[in-house]
Amino acid sequence: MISDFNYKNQNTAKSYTSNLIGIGKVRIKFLLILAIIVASLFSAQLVFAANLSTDGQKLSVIEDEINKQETENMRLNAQIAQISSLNYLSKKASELGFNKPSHLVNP
Amino acid sequence: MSRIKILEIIFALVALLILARLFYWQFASSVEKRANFGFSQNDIPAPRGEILASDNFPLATNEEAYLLWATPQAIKEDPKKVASLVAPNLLPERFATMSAEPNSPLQKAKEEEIAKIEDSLVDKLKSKNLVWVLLQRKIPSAAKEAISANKIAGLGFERDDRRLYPESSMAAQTIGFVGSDKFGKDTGYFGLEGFYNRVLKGRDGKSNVNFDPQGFPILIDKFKAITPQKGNSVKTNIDRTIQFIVENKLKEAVSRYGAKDGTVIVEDPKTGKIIAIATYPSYNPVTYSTYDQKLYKNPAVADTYEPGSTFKLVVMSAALDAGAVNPATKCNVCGGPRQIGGYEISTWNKKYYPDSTMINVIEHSDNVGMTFVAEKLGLERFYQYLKKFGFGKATGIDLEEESPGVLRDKDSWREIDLATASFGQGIAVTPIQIIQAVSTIANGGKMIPPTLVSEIIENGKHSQKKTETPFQVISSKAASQITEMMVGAVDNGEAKAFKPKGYRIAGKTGTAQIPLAGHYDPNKTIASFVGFAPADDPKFVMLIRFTEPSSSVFGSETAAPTFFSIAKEIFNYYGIPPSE
Repeated sequence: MISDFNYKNQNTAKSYTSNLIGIGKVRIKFLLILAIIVASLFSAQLVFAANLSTDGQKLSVIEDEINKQETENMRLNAQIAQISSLNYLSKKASELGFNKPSHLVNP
Repeated sequence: MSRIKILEIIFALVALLILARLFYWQFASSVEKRANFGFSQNDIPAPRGEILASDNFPLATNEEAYLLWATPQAIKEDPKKVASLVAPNLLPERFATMSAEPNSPLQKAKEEEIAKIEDSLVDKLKSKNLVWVLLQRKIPSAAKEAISANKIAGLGFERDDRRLYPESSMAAQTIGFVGSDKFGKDTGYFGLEGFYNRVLKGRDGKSNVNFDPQGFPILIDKFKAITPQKGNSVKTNIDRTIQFIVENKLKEAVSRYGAKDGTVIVEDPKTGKIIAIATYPSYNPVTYSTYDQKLYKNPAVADTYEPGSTFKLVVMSAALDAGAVNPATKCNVCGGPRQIGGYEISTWNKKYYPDSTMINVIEHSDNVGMTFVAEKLGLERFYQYLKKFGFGKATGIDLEEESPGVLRDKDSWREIDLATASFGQGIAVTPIQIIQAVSTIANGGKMIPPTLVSEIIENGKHSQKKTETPFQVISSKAASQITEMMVGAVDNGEAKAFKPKGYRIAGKTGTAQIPLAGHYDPNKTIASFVGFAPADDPKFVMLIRFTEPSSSVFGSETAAPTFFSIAKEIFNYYGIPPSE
């Protein structure tokens, strides 16, 4: 005869086991999701780091271009300043045969 | 195989791949490393601000230049050969602009200089224990291109911009120059470069960067950059055209009159703006180190001298304002020389005019008459007015080397000191103080301290410099009275032959003997002329001063003609028609 106790125990054991299996399935799912998130984040970091490492090159190219333009700008400004200086204009006027006016009319 | 097992295998494979790649990049690969591989911490120099004229033309700006360095260990070629290729491109600026005939002294000097540079380069390049050695700073871009064309391994360049003065030596003592401080950083000295150094220099940036073997920055590492902050610019009141005219006329005049040096200041009396300020001899701020250091100071603000008869304007203005005399007051001691405190006071030409009016005293530049005026004023009021006119203290002009002049304590003055001070001897002033005083007369008795800089420009934003509130030193009536006396002095005085026709010019000559070892040397003078025009609505005040002119010691024969010559040009420039 199956005693009630045995039956009860078996039932308890069965429900306990099925509970355990249920809990285990949830835990596994949770761990799996966590693992997927960690793996994704890790991969994302790798992707960003890889992109960033080449961004250094892009930054270098842009900086070089900026420096080049600024240098050219500075060079042109210096040239403009020198050829529009009164010393230069005065010498050039003299070379071209310009004379200072001796008579001036004031209106 | 379970799915978890498969996942485990995938993870392990990915990890292995990453490890393998890391191993390759760290140990197996042989990428050619650029010079800036690895961590580097650099200062990024800030561009220096500009000094602008009143028309926004840059009197001082920056131009591209480079620092040449070498890694002696990396130089494969013979150091002597490298030095011979590089040295001709490193000639100092003073040789660079000169073209020399073969076998001429200049060519020989160039060759000697090149040889010296070569020897210095060879010494540095032979030091194989050095990793990095500085060869030359501030090399122009043309020289850099020429050196780079030789493709010498082990040489490199870094930006090291230098100062450019497009108008060359124009207003050199006023602008100053940029040299290096003890840390090798660009620093302004003298003039505006020195006074406004903190405004002009900006703030250097910093970069802490790790570079990969190809020389590109690694941004995920300790990358940190502080952007350099460009220096602010300053805009001056200097009118380039007038400055140019003044400098040319001054140079001619110093040569013509055989003077040791000359100084000219031109100011707008209504605003206190200094329009032109020139000294000859001058220097080139680019090659400043090749000039005598005595030339660096600006004599217009730093030199003290006994002003002589130009000072009579101050004393007479004070006496008129105090009511001690009026233009018609007669001098009852002007009939001959006077004995004061054991000394004889006489006129400059030994001519005496009994019962001279105050107008006559100024016209004749009568020393005896001025002692009469000083006695009428009294020491107490005399001294008070000197202080009101700004003597004995700096004007506050924005230049580094200003001197306050010498005004002895009133309690130490004896009777003779009052007498001599009345005609500008025994008292030491600076040219800028005289300009300030005469500007006060020209401006209806209101004093506005002189200023050079009108605006500070920060990132394109213009902010006006604060100006002092004018204050009344003498009444406008006294100012008008002394102005008329000055017009009379020009029309009827010793310099009347040089005056431009049709213009009312107020002015006064000055011929002050130079004190030497306790006495005055009769053959050495400071010859000056100060005045303003047009007298009724002054557009400019100007002081001309010559030290020890040799062709004639008198201001009426040296400084006055120079004043009128410059004044004619200024009338034309401003379009001021004759009024008479």
